Amino acid sequence: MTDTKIASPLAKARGHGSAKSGTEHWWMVKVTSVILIPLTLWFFLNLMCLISTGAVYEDVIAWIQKPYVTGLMIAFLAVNFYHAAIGGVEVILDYVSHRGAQVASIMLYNILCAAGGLASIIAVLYIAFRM
Amino acid sequence: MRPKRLYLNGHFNSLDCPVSSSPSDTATKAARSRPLSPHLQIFRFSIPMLTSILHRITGVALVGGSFVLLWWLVALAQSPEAYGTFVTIALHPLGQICLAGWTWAFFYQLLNGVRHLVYDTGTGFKLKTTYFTGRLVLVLSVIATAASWWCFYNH
Repeated sequence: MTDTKIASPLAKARGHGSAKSGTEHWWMVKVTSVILIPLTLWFFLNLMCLISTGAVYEDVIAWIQKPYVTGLMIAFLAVNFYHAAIGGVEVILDYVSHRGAQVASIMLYNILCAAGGLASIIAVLYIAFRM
Repeated sequence: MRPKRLYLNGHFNSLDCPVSSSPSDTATKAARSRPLSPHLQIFRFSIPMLTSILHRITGVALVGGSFVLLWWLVALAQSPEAYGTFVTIALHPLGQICLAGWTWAFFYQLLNGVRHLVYDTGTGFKLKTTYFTGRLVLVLSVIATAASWWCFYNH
């Protein structure tokens, strides 16, 4: 029959190899998750403070306009959307098996996350620098 | 009565698989009887299974939550009226249910994420420990969510 019959398992595996970026991907998920621990807790606790003090529109604007809050918000949003992008790709890889659909959905998802991150950071900058 | 056994999610005894055991089998026969991963309903419910599934579900939910956060920021940047619309929807009972869900998803992902970071150091893999930390994460995430919402409503 065909020569696949006498091919060793290694020969069969060759050429179908991994993306060769698995370790890097895993490591970035871990790094971003460690960074997100303090940043998400900081954001959540501040949000709770704003709500419990009955903060209105102007109070929230004033809070974001504090330079260190602007900085931390940008860091939080950038890492959050990056973590969402690389974490979500794992889910797509698991459930979308058709190669074309997989590439297309990963592209679309990454663009969506990049756009979300960019738009939210621009919103923070807009709030911080308007008079 | 079957003896009580602890199962790790995604792991199963390789002897349970329909794999040919004879080393004299030809490649063709081996290819025909390749071991199949048991389907979802084969697994008995376990805590590690639940924590793993929930980690994925909360992760996907938090991606959605991130876009609500984007909406909040854009509304703030836009105008007090746009922010008012956001607040009105957020204060609606349905909005409150969603926000409570996201609060729990946040705490769950955070706590289980820390659990996974501990796993990455090579510790906590003993079955008893795994079950304990799994239950701990589930209970603590619910407590943290309840405490947060108690604060929201009783300030």
